[in-house]
Amino acid sequence: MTKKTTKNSIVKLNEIQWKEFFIGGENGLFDITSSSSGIDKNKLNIEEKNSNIPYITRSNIDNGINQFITINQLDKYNLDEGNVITIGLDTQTVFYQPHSFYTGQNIQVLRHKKINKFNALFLIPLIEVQMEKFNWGGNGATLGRLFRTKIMLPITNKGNLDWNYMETYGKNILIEKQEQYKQYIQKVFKKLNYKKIDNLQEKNWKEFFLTDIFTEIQRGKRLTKANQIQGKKPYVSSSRANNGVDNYIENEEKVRIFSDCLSLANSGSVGASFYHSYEFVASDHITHLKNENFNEYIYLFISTLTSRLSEKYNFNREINDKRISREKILLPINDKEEPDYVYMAQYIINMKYKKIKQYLTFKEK
Amino acid sequence: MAKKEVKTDLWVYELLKEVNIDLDPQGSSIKEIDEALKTASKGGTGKVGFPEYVGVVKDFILVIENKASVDKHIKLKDKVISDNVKDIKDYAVNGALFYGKHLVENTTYNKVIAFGISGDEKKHKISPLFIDETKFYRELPEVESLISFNKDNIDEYYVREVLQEETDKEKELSEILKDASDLHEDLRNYGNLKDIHKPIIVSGILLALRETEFKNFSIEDLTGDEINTDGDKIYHAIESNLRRSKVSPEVKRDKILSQFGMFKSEQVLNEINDTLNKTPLKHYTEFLNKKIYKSIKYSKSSEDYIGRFYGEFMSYSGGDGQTLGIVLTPKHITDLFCELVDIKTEDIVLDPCAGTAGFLIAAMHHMLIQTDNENVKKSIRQKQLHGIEQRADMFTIATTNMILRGDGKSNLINENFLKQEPSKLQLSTEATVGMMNPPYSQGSKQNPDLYEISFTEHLLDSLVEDGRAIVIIPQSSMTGKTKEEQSIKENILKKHTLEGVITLNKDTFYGVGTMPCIAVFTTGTPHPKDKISKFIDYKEDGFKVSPHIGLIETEQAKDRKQHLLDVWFDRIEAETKFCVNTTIEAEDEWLHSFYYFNDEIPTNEDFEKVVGNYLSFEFSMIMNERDYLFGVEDDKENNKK
Repeated sequence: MTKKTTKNSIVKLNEIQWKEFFIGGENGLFDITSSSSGIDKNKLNIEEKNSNIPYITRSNIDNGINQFITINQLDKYNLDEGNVITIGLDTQTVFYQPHSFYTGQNIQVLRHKKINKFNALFLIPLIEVQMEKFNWGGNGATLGRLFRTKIMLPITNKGNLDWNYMETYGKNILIEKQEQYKQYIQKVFKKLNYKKIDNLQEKNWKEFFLTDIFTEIQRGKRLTKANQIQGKKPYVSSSRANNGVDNYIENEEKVRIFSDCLSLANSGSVGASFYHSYEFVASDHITHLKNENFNEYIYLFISTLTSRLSEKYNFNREINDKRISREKILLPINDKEEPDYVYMAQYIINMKYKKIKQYLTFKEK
Repeated sequence: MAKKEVKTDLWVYELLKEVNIDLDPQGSSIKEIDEALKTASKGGTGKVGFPEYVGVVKDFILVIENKASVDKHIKLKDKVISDNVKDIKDYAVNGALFYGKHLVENTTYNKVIAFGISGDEKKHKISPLFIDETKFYRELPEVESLISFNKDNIDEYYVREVLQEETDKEKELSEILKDASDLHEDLRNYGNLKDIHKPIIVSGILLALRETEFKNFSIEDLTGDEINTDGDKIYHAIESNLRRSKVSPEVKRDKILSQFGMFKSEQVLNEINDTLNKTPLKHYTEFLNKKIYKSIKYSKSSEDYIGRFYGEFMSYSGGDGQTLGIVLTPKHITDLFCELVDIKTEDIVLDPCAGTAGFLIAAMHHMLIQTDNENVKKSIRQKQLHGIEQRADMFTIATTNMILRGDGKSNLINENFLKQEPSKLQLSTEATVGMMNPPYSQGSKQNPDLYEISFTEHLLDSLVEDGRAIVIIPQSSMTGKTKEEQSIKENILKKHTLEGVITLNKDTFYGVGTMPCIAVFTTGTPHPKDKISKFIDYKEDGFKVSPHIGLIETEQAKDRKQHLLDVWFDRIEAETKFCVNTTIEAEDEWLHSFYYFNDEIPTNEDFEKVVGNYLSFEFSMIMNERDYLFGVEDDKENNKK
C-alpha cells in the first residue's frame, strides 16, 4: 500500500537526535508505582448494571482489559486515574489507558503530566523494546528493575526530551490508520441498504436440521504447529478468540482450504462458530458449513444460532460428524414455511448499518 | 390477557393441590387474615385487595401473587424490589412482597412466605420471599414446585433456607460420619485390617450384638481367653443369629459363615492389645454397642439408624467403597429408582448385581410403607426381593445387610449373573421390576458381555413381559461408542421399549470419574417406531459436593426431584432444556444432550454480540495490515485498471 502524504510533515526517525533516559527511579522520566488496586478475579464485585470501569490484567489482548466492572469494589482498592501507561509484570504488556481503571495483580503504572493519547502511541513500542529483556517467572518488570531500565527517546536541539515530536508522530500514524479504516468502512456502509423489518418476536420460527440448511459439511485436516509455514492465509482452529484465527500460514499441500462459509469448533472451544469471507486453512478441530447461495449476512445470522451448540457440548463431549447430522437450529420462516433468508440477511444488514453508523458518528465528533 | 391469567391461576392451583397445600383463592377463610386483606389494596388506598392465594401452613402465612407472563415477574429499582404502586400492581414478586408485608403487619402471624409466580406450566418462575414481623424480607432461591412448603417440609425449609442453620438430618449425618471414620481408624490401627475386610467384621459384630437380646451373647464374656477366644464367641453368636433369622438353605448359611471365619482365624484380633488392654474385637464390639445400640434406645427407627451407619461406613474409606472394588449406589438414587418405576406392593424385584443390596433395601422400604397387611409384608420380605451377587464377601455383606434391616429370608444367591440363563431367571423369580448398577468399564472388544449395556440387555431379558427395568450406567453406554455396544442397543429395541433416559449429576458417584445416567425400559414389547421416549437433563439435582463429607443434599433437592417426577409421569410439561420428548433410532445417542436443541427465539442482543465481534475482528485485521482478507487490495487493483 502506498503511504499517504501525512498532514504534518515531520523529520524522519533516523534524522532526529536520540538520547537515553531512565524509565523510572530518582532521575527517571516517569513516576512509576504499582497500581492502587490489585483485585483477584474471584474477589471482584460484579454487578450487572453500571459496569463501566475497565479491569486491567496482564493479558495481551484488548488493551489489557479483561472485563468491565462497577466502581463499587472493596474499600481497600482504589481507582487509578487514566491517561497513563500500564505495564504487566511477568507478561511485560504495555498499554495506554485513557480512562480511570482497576487492575488485577502486578500492574505497574507509568505517569507523567505530559502523557497523552498521541505521544503514548510513540512511547509504547519503545518501552516494549526495553521489556524484551524481562521474562515470565521471577525475572519480570518489577519496580526495582524498571527503575534501572533505560530507554532511547528523541530529543530537541537543546537536548531535552522532544514531547512535541513524539506527539506529532503518534498523531500522524493514528490519523492515517483511521483514515484507512474509514475509507474501507464507508465503502461497506454505502452498500448497506437499511429497510424496516419485523422484529424477531414477530416472526415465526421453525427448527431445521443443519444438514437441511448446509450443502457442504466437512471437517478440516490436522496440521501440527511444527508443520505450519508462516504466511498470509488465516489458519482457523478451535479458538473462541479472534474469529477462530489461530495463525497465518501458506501451506498448500495436505490441507483443506475453504472460503465464504461458517466454521464450527468440534473440540476445544466446542461450539464456537464464525463466518469467514476469505480463504482459510481449516484445522481438523473445526467443521465448515457451507451453502453456495448464502452471503455474509445470512452466515452471520446463522452463526448466532450455531454458536448455541456450545451450551450442550463440552470438553468431554465433542461434536462428531454423526452428532452434527442430528443437530437442529431454530430459524425464522416465510409463508412457505421455508427459512426466510431474505429476512435474515436484512436483519444483519440493519444491524451492521446501525453499528457502522455509530462508529462513523463517533469519529466525526 | 385475562384468559392467560386464568390459565396461570389454574396451574398454580394444581401446584398447590399436588403437594397438599390448602390455600384460599381471592380472600381467606381465616378471619384474621380476611380482615387484614380488607385494607390491602395494592394502590395503597387502604381499600380491599386480594392476592391470588393465601392461607396458613403451621405457623406460616403463605401468600401467592401471579402474573401470566414471565416478563412481569419482578421489577427492580436500584437493585431492590420496587415498591412503586404501579410496579406492585404489574409485577408478581413486587405484588407478593406488598401483600406479605401487609399481612405481617396486620395479623398476629410473624412469619410470612410470599411467592411471586409468573408464566405457565411450561415456562415459569417461582420466587419465594420470607418476611418477618419487622417487615424485613429476604429473597430466597427460585423453586420449581411448592413441595418444600407443605406441612411436612416447611419447618425444615425454614431452618435451612431462612435461618441458614444445619438441620437435624445434617447433624446426624456428620455424627455418623465421625463415628464411621473413627471406627475405620481403629480397625486399621488395632486389627491391621484391610479395607476389604472391615465391613465383614462390622457386620459380623452387628449380627452378634442382636443375640444380646436373647441373652445368648454378652460383651462381658469377651475376656480375651486364649482357649475359648473372643472370636469364637462372636462367631458362635453370628451362627445363632443366622439360624434365628432363618437364613436358608444350609449351603447359603455355610457360605456366609465361612466368610466370618476371619473372627476365629485372625490372631491379632483375638490377642489382648497393650494399648487397649483388651482384645481389638472387644473394643470394636463395645464401640458398636455404644454408638449404635445405645442410640437405638432413643431413636424410633432403629433399623434405619443401623442401616445408615452401615451405609456410611461402607462408603467412608476412599470414597464410595472404591477400595472394596465396587461402586455403591447413593441412597437418594436407590430411592429415586423406586419412585421412577412407581414400585407397588405386588411387584417382584430383581437386582442381579446386588452389591450391598442397596436397591433391594430401598425397594423393601418403599413396598412396606404401602401396606399394613402383615401377610403382604411377609410376602414382600420373603418372596418378592431377589438378588444375585458374584463376590462371596459382597454376598455376605448383602445378606447381613438385609438381616440387619429386617429381612431374614432374603432371596440372595451367590452366583455370576451373566452365567444365568435369562429365561430360567424369568421363570424362577417372575420378577416384574429389575434394578441394577452393573460393574463399570469391564467391557472390551474381547469381552463384549461385560459392557454395561450388555448387562442391561441381560437384565431386560430376565424380567417378565411388561416388567419395568431401571439401570444406572455411564452416559457413554447410551452413545454406543463401539460397534458391539451399538449392536446391543439395536438388539434391545427389537425386544424391549425404552421409556427414557435421565442424565445425572456428574458428582453422583463422588470421587469416581463416572458421568452416570438412569435408563428405564419396559420389557417384552419391541420398541414401537412412533413411541415417544423422554430424555431428561437432571444434572441440577440439588446435591452438591461438600469437602471432606462428599455429596450432600441441599434444600433444592426435594424440589428438583418433585419436578423430575412430575415431568416423568406427564403431570406437567417442561422446557426442552429439561426434557425432550422424541421418537428414537437405535443408532441415536440415547441422551438428552443428543436430542436437545435450544428452541428459544434468539434475542437482538445475541445478534448484536456476533455482529459486534465480527466488526471488531474486521477492524483489528485492517489495522494490522491484514486488509487483504477483506478484498481491499483487490479493489485497489481494480481501481488501477
